[in-house]
Amino acid sequence: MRDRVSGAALLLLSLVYYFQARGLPSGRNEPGPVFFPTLLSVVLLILGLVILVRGWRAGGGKARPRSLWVIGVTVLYALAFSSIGFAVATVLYSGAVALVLGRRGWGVLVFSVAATAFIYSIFGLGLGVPLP
Amino acid sequence: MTLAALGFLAGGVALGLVVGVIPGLTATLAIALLLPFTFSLETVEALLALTGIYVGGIYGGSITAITVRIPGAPANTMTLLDGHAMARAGRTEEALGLATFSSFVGGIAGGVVLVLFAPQLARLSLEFQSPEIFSLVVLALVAVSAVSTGPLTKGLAATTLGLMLSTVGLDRLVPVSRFSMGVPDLLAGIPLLPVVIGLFALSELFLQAGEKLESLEKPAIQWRRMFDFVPTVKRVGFKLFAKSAAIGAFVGALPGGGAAMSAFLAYTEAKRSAPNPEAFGTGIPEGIIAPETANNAMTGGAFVPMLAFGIPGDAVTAVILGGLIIQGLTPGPTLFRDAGEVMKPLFIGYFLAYALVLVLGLALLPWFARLATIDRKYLLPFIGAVSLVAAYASERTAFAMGLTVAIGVFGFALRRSGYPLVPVLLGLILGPLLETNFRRSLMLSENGAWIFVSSPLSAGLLIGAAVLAIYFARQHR
Repeated sequence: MRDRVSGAALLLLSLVYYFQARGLPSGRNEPGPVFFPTLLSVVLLILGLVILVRGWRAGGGKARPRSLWVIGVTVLYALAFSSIGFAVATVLYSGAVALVLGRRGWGVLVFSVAATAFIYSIFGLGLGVPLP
Repeated sequence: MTLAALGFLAGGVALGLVVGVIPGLTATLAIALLLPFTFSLETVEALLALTGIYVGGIYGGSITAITVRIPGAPANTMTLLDGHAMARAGRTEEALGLATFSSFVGGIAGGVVLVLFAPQLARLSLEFQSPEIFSLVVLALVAVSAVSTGPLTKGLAATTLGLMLSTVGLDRLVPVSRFSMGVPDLLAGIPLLPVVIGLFALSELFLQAGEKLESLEKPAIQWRRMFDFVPTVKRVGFKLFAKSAAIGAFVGALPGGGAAMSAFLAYTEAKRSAPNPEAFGTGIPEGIIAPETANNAMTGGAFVPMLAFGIPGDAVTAVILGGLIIQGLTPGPTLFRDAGEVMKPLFIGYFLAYALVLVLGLALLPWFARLATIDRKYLLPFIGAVSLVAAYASERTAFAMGLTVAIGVFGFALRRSGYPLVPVLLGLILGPLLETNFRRSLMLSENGAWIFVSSPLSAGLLIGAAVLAIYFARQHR
């Protein structure tokens, strides 16, 4: 089942990639920029087909909800980082992930503030990276 | 070599030990997160810090394999069998001492291979024209697809995805931008660090978030029993060490070989040639000595193709290669000729790193081993935040952070579906080398693709790749 899904995804990806590549110049006598991508899309197409048809079962199970929660929080962090600033975003993020993973109580707040301060001291003070 | 450089080396080894000891953290992850820091360091300091983490991480992973039955890195999976069995039989200290001593012996042997062969092979690489380089890269990519976890088709698919990522940005021969979708940040290609952090740090966080995260029990280790291993080493003798080190260094020097493979082969060989093969897995010293000697000898071997050809053997050397390039060094013969002031300290540093492993390992191990019980419910959010900020710091753009998250989700989806991630990274790194030499060969060629088989060297490398592919395709039937 899982392999059928991933095989189909690879097929789709190879087609999208192929059509994205099609407009590229092809070169006169020598292989141009379009050559290698076209080759890659064919290779991926074949591999996707093989994986789809054979339909091995590997890995197994659905993605667990906690993984999806952490992914969601991480996407939000990346989106909000520039607008709400490093400090607020990082305190919220590290706290939220700890909550998702099952930590409760004041410890979470202490942790997220301490983690943020630590990261700031390394990147902001140590490396001199201007953080928003 | 300056005192500061030595400090970075020792810091690297200690950090490698720490991440190696904590289950779920690997040397690749540590190096990925540390690369942004190396931008601001001198070349030698940066390289020594990376080498230290590599060496410390491979060794440190053996500790948790023995004490809590969780391999710190895939390279330590074989060590777990006999290592943990010994620990359960109350011989934890002896097992740890054996792992430490074997790592040291293997590492030194690997270092000898590195010093002897890397410059020679770099000189040989002058013989490599475009077709030969193309064929060598093909061999490396097939090898890494084959030895990664999962069936060959999935490894090859992961490699192809990495190669596709490498085609984003300006074409290297003709001034045309490809697949950059009008995003200016992508014109120079997909930056390395967001990919490394996304693939090896964020996807790991997403994956582990779905696992059970109970705290582990503190392993009880008595310092005064740390030298119990000495009589055992005397009994086992020199031969097993020599054989395992040879296997490890050889596998390491194969492009795409890797630590897990070397440990597996050495363990299998030790078991095959032993008078008592059935005792393996029940907690015998040979079962620790063979894989630990081999996977540390591998580290020396793995530097060889990376320094001589610019073709890394595994994920960590791939990232170190990225570090070299960031520092403005090009692998190959010029590296040894012009950058002697970099190579010599690197070689010396490599040996010193293993001396440190021996000393730190035997002196401080009971304390390091306690780190295995660290609360992962706090560790994971911390790693997540550090990864994201490191991604931002690598390019200083919010775009880099977004890209890292996207790659992290992509890597998570791949892992969940049973695809390996190391081939993606190698595809991305080796893609430009593969494509430019492919196209250049065809430009030079008078009769098309025949140029790849008309040179005996190139033909031999391609045949090697084909043999590997066929062999591994049959294995996974």
